[in-house]
Amino acid sequence: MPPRWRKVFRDLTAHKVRTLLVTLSIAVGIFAAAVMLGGRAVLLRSLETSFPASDPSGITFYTMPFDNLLVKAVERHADVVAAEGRHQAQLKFRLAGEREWRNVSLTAIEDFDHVKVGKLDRDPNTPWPKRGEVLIERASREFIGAQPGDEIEVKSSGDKTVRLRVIGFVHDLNAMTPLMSISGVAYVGYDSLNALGEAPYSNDLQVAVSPRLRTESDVSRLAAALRDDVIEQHGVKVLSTLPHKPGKHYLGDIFKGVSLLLVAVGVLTLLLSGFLVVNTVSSLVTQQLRQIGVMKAVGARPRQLVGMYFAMVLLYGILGVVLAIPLGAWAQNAFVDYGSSKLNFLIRDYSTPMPILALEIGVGIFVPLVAAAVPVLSGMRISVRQALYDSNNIAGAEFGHGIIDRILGSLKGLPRPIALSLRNTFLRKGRLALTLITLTLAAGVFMAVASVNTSIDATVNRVAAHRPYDLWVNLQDSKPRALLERETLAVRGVTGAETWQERAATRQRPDGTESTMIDVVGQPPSSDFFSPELLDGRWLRPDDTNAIVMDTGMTRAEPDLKVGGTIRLKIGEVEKDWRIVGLIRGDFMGASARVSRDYLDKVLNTRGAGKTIVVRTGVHDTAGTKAVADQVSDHLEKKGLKVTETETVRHLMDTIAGSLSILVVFLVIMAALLAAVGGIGLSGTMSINVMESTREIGVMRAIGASNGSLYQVFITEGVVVGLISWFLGALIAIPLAMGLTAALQAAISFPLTFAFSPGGVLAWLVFVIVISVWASLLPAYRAARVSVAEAIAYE
Amino acid sequence: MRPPKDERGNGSSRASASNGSLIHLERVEKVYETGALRFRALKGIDLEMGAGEFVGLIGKSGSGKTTLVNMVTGIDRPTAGEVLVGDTAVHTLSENQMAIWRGRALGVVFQFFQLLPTLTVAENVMLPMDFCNVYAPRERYGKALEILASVDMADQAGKLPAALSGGQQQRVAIARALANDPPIIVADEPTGNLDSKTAEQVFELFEDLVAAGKTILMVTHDSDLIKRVHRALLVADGEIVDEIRNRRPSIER
Repeated sequence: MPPRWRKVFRDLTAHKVRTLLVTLSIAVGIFAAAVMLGGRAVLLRSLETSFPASDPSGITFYTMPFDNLLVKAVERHADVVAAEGRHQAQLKFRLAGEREWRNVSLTAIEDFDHVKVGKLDRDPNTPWPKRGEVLIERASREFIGAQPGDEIEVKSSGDKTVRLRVIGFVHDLNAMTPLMSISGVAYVGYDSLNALGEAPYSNDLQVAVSPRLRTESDVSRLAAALRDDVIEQHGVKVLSTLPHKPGKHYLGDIFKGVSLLLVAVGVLTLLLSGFLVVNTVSSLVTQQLRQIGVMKAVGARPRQLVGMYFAMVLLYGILGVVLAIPLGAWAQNAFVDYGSSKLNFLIRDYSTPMPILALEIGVGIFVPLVAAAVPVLSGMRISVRQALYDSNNIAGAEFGHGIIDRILGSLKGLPRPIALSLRNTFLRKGRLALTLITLTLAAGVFMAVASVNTSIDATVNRVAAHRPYDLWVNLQDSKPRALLERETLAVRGVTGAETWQERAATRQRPDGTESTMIDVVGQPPSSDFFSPELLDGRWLRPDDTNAIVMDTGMTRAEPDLKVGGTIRLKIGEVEKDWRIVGLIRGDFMGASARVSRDYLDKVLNTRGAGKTIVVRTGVHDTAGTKAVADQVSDHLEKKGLKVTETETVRHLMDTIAGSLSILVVFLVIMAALLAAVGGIGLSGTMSINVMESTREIGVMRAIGASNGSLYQVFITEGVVVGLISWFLGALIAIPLAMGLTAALQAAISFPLTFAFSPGGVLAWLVFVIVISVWASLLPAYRAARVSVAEAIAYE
Repeated sequence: MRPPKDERGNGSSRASASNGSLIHLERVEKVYETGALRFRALKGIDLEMGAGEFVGLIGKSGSGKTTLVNMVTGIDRPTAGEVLVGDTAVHTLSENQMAIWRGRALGVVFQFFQLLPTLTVAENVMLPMDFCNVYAPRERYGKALEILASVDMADQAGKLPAALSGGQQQRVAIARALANDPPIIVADEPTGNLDSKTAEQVFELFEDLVAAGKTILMVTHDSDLIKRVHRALLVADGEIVDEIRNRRPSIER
């Protein structure tokens, strides 16, 4: 091998710390691309291939009982591809030996071998359930907590306890995860329905629609037509209609939106990694200027030198790729596993898509080459004389000309070593600028990410603040309010109780279609059990009749609704117009509206009866409120009042926080990557500064600098850089945090309460000080070991 | 010492210039400007050197000696005036042309040796051959050993520069300057960083090279050595203020 290429290889091995720093700078960018872009691509690919393959339902009708004649009639419609009847029951279950009943959504399927809509995916060794057997949806495995062979107890509609044997797991891509619904999902055959006290009929009509229907409103129109012209014509009453976005998984848009943030952070990390490479390569060229001068003096042409240094950068790139691709693939798989378990995507193919892999390799090779272009080309343009005789004054290592230099130079009263550190910091302004850009962006995005996390917390707390009660109880049947409140208040630990009227409603749109379900709550207008955040109009008044206050969940679902307008709601059998008088901020629970309880009583003719009790307790912690909830439930049951659900606000908040936890985990990954980039950046800069200051170290040594003084000079320099970046980072963090929060709320279609995180600012301050000291410690240690003779002779 | 063979037939005896001299400087000026400061390092230097001549440049620090040799090597360019080396107008060359020309026409020896620390002794010598594509790649190692033998360093060929003494490093630097068998060697204080005994040995090497037909321009501080060059030029304040001829006139004027 010609000597110049040997030099390229030997320079890599001779300067191991520098090689490590450049390789890590490159690797962190590829790693970020692998995790963020690769992970997103694998999850999306899985969704995009498995969703159409599952023959997803386009419309779900919940109805009164129907038979297969109706299914055939629906299938005859030109825009219907397939239809299937199922039986849907919301029941309670528990494992043997457990006291507490939990929710399970049990779907009965008549013919598992010929599922036409919403196909299930099972292990070939898993049989379909026979009488008395149950299959558990994969995402409910932890929630239900049973293994194949175990038995679960299901409380039937007739209040009997029925044992079902778990025979395995099945994947239903379109099933809600327990994280979102607080309910397990399981499947039985029709022959188990009798035992469960459910009649063996269908009450759930799943309809796969033609691909010709491209928009949600196309599907809504078809739903209305099927309801009016086919289903109700067969004498089957539709309880609710759920049109789905055509061709879209229910989490698809949210996932795409949220994951775009990941892509943004991945690209940003890549950019920062590019800055690190510019910094390290430019310092490498600076360190080698004298050698470049010598090589030019013995006949090296600029083109040859450019080739040598690009080859060196290419080798760094290859090292970075070799390090980052396997590590990135491992982290990508972990990320995909986590994401798929939360989103209930079944991943069959973990391989990184070729374009992403090509991007990772391309980025690893080309970003460093592009980043190195300016320092390498400008380094090679320097004349032999400059390279040989002025190399200490090249690359901006001049002090004393700029405004900052003069200000620092005029600072009086500073101890000399501190003054030296401060001035050294500004000696190489180009490098300082790049280091500061990298660290500032890392700091800013870290703080912004922390603020998104704080905003999520603030949003959860806001939802809790709207509910100044501790738990609620739902009964199977409506009972007189006075009785319910008296019996609830009789339970020890209960300090207040109020009965509400809560009903499922649908909006009857002017075009004849109907909305998805709206939760209509009748409550006393002056109730102190609800603390709404009014955004527009007014709250309910005691003398209100058909006044309705909608929440932001409703305006999101039905954007044409305005305060001052009217809305036609179908509640049970009753269709009625309501005047919209106000708009309140909603929570995560979908669309809901508030009306006067007394007026709703009149409309529904419920005569002072209700089945939802909101309860305030003397304790507010998770365990305390849960204990009171159990006591309330037991007490009401003893009094012959059948309880279908008790839920504590604390548990609801935990569930909401849990469903947002995937976002928090994503955010933590982003923050960790950025912290890594910042740390590597500062370590690199400090190492390079020390290497380039070897001669100064010798001079300081010669005039009596102790180890302590050298440590002080370099550590102060590192900390000064860290603190400047922290300050600048905090400045850009506010707009970044607002942007990130806005992007996130657009992605999840839910308004977040923006809360800037002082904790994030403080955390980065601590981190940057620790990392600055750490990053300067090793270089300072090396500096302290350099002898005067070595230092002065340093080339 | 045995001078290396001239493989291409254009080695040590090659000499031509516009007026019969090998090196010709005419009214060479060099001005450095740093901010408001303007410094005239060379003030209209005229210099002629013939082939095979050994010329020493002496003068105090800052007198302009190094700037003057840098004009000849093309390491620096004149602000005004002409620099002709052989047939080449050095001051008109681009960086690329300069590199190609310098690699073949000149060998440069520095005070601080300037060997590349990550290359072995032999590789340092092979480097100019590699850059200038002189000799077939397979022949280069043999050539490097031959040249190293001529400076008594062949037995150190596989070592890294850090393992050598200052004198040994300077011998290797001279070997590197001879790598492409240039007719001219320019040395900037090659003995300045060596003890007197080693300096003597290194200087003898230069004398051997002159005897073998090389043309040498050397900057030195050592007044004893001045007596052993053909001609010594005293540089002061950017001008040649005196000339001492020792043995033979280099150019027939």
